[in-house]
Amino acid sequence: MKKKRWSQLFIKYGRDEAVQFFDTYQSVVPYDIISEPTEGLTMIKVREHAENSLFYMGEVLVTETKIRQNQTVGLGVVKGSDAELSMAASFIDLCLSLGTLDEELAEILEALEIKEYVYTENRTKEILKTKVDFDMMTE
Amino acid sequence: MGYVAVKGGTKAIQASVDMYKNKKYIPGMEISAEHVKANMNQLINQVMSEASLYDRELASHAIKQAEGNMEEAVFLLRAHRSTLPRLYYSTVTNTREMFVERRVSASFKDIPGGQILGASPDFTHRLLDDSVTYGSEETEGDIPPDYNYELNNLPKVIDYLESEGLFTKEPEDNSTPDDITKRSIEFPSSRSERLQSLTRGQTGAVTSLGYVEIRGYGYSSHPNIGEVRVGQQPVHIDPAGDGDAYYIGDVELTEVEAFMPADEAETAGERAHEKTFKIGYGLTFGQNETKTIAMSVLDYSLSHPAEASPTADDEFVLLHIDSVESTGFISHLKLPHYVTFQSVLDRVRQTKGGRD
Repeated sequence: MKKKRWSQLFIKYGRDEAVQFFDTYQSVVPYDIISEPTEGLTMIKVREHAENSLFYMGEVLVTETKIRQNQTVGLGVVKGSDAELSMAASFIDLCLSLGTLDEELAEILEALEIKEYVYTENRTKEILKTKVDFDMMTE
Repeated sequence: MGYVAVKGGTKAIQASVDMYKNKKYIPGMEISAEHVKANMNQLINQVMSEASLYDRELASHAIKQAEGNMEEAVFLLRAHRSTLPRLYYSTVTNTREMFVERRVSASFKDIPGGQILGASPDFTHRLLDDSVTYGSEETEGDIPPDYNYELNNLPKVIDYLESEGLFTKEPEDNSTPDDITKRSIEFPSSRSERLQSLTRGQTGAVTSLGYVEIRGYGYSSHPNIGEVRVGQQPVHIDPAGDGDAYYIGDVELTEVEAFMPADEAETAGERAHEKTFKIGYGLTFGQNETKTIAMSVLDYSLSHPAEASPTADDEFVLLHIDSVESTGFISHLKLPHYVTFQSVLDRVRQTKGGRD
């Protein structure tokens, strides 16, 4: 699974699951901390649609953690001030890079995909209640 | 008259600070930053946008500490931002991936994907109502039968114009943008400097100058809003640069594309006789619709300057819309200017004495 996909599932829909995974398996996978959870900024680069050029629209607060096992690095960068999630994300990244605890992670990710589906469908239905039906204006 | 350097007021200043801190709250009525975050969403949106820093917790804290004073809250947030390292630049963020929660067009009734009103005060009576409550009640309304939508993949209204041959999409420009937080704006400004400056501009200033532009001191034309969209925009980083990017979170954005009929003189060559459309672009943190519309108006006026128009003058617009710079300069006027004023006073006295 691509980083974009698993990181979205954990950060957006599975904060508790990520932290629980870290708590459960941190003693099983040895690692060294390169940098403890640290707050910093990420500048957002945007493509605008008038002239199709790029500009910087502003920064978002992030928390970053880096860990490693030998030469393999685990990186956890999450929006906001959230040391717990950042640490958990770096651990998950390390596990996926090492190819360890694959089955356990796959099971969690599968459950998060269902959670994402349910959330998205409910949110979409809620928002679409405000979709204008112009035919009804004449009634 | 000679000048004598003096110092003093330390105790008075300390007493003033104490008085300021003590007068803040009625005992037992203090609110927390959590209260601000839970109830003052629009205020948070404005502060984050003007501070150019997206974080609802920090913005709530700044608003609480500033007692709701916008300029002070923005200043606090900008100051805090300056203490943090910039760790990453995002990959190119494309608003076509935004999970749209509100999206309206003033130009077409039947836009592909439909008009989605979302949450907006636009349709409410502007009457004071102390019975307003905040909760998680379910929204009443019918779910359209065709609800099988992908709200993170809605077509854009400019796509429709393009398909009609009324708007020509520019080729992708991947030049590295200028960053006004790293290097001061130089004039004439680049497009990336203008957009970055406008998006972090003070809401009132950007709105006022956008209004000035339309009323007759600039392009003087009523823009047509092709699309206003508000939604959750995913942000990614790719530290390895191998295309395998991490998702770091969503930010709420407001985006506006305003249609401006292009002058014939602007079209070139064989198409010189044709009328077409250009786009004024606005994009801000949070739900900031009025500011974003005004930003799109100013973007257009600065990119297609009308002669002798103040709102087409990038130095005039961009150097005066920043909250921290403008409020900082104006408010510094109340600080002691004893020496400079004495100098002025001496000259006035001498002039007056000379005349007499």
